[in-house]
Amino acid sequence: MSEIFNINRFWKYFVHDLKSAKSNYWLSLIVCGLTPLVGYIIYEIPMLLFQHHFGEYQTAVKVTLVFFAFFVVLMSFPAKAYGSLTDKKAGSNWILLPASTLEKYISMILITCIVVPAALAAVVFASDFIFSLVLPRYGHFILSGSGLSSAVPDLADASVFINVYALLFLNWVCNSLAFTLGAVCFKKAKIVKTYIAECIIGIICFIIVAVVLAIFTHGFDETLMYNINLDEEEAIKWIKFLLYSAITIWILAVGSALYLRVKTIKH
Amino acid sequence: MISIKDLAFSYGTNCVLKNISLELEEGKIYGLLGENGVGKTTLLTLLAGLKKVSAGIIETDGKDPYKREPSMLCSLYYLPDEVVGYNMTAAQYAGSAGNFWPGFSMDRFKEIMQLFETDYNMKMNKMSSGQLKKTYISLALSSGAKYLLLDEPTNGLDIPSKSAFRSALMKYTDEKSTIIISTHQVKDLENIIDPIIILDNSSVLLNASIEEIGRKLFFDYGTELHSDALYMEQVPGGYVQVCLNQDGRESKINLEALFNTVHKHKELFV
Repeated sequence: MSEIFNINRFWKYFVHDLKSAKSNYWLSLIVCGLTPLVGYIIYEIPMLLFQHHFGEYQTAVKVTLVFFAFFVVLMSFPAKAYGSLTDKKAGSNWILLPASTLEKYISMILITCIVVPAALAAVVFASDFIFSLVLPRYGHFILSGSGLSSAVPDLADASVFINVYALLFLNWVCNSLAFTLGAVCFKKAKIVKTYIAECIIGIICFIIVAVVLAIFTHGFDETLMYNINLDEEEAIKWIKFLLYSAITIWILAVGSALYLRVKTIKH
Repeated sequence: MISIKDLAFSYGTNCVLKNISLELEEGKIYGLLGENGVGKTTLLTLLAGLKKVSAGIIETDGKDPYKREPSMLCSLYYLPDEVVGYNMTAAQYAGSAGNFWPGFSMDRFKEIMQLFETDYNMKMNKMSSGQLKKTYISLALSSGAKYLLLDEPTNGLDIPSKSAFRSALMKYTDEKSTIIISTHQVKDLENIIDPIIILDNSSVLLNASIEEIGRKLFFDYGTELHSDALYMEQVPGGYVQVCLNQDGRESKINLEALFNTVHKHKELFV
């Protein structure tokens, strides 16, 4: 049996990890998934009390709450599910479970990057579909034509150039990797410290880019900027290239750091 | 077999273990004794691969435990002094985690839990520390692991559970298993552990079987005082005295008296 990766052992570990994630987080995930309903209740109760009729629950508010729910889960899930790795008692159990580091790592990535957003999306969209049918003035189903795309026209327009949903997913992957790394590195205040670390890294990257641009454009005639015959398609191609390169570098760097941390964690 | 050669470990500049060399053979229950802070738990965690050695080598069946290879992890179960309670029942946890050890038996787990008179359908995060300890002991003994590293296993156990632990240890472990028990509660395990390893000042002060100790020392439980006693302790009804066994007499070893004798006369055992 391979010491690095064995599919049967991986599957066994993945199921174990999934069960453990479920027992740790299922209630929080359901509550987050029902955030639009909470928003509806908070909005409609005063309407009924003071105006004696249901108000029109705006789809834009609903979509904002959906993004908020995803944001909360993105930050809190890794700390709740894997934060105990820094704890001596739970961390020792985790290390000594007979599966390879790679199997544990892949399972961690699959759960944080795929399973959790999929489960949250399922809760959000299933509940939204049911409530849009059952509750008065709840608004359209979020995924219907008059739902999401009407609420976020800018994003819909931008998808002409960039696949917005792919970008949202990649954004989830980048950030969930960072918050998982924070969860297994920091012993306390995992979310806040990760957020601060992300900000600091962002500022450093910004400074580096600014310095590089300053070096490249040194002595550049500014008036020429307005006379450049810019090929729009070419520019968009470059923007997409830079964007996806930055995302790839981030995923590789944070993913490698996470693997290294998981491999060398000691208790 | 676990082989330790010139092992050293430090927490920063604080050297906890140095020049430790041991061969831990199959089919033996080692008692790891020592004062607080001499590195008993550290040694167990190093053997489990939870820490990396600062110098020297540890090999478990020829493998470095720190590499944490699944085949090595399958052959080992480490029971820490403090254990964690998950949000699931003991049976659910055992069913989920225990399955990773090829020799694990759910029936055996339930049998041992019954021996401890502990409900395996109880949620672990609702258990007392003693019940939680018994759950982990049951999992350790039902894992079928070849190497059992038990750190203070009787801490927090009630009196019936201590004897249940001794019975379970004898009944549910394989003859070829190597069991290392770190403990301060020597009376709980007096008749089980053999050989005895005593750590002192970050190194091994004594590593000997009960037979070897019996050949070297004589334990007298009478009322008459011996002038040549290496150690003497008054107990109800007489004394426990430890003398050099010069005429090959047989006696029952008192581990507490042995420990104190070894500490008092280190030169005799180095």
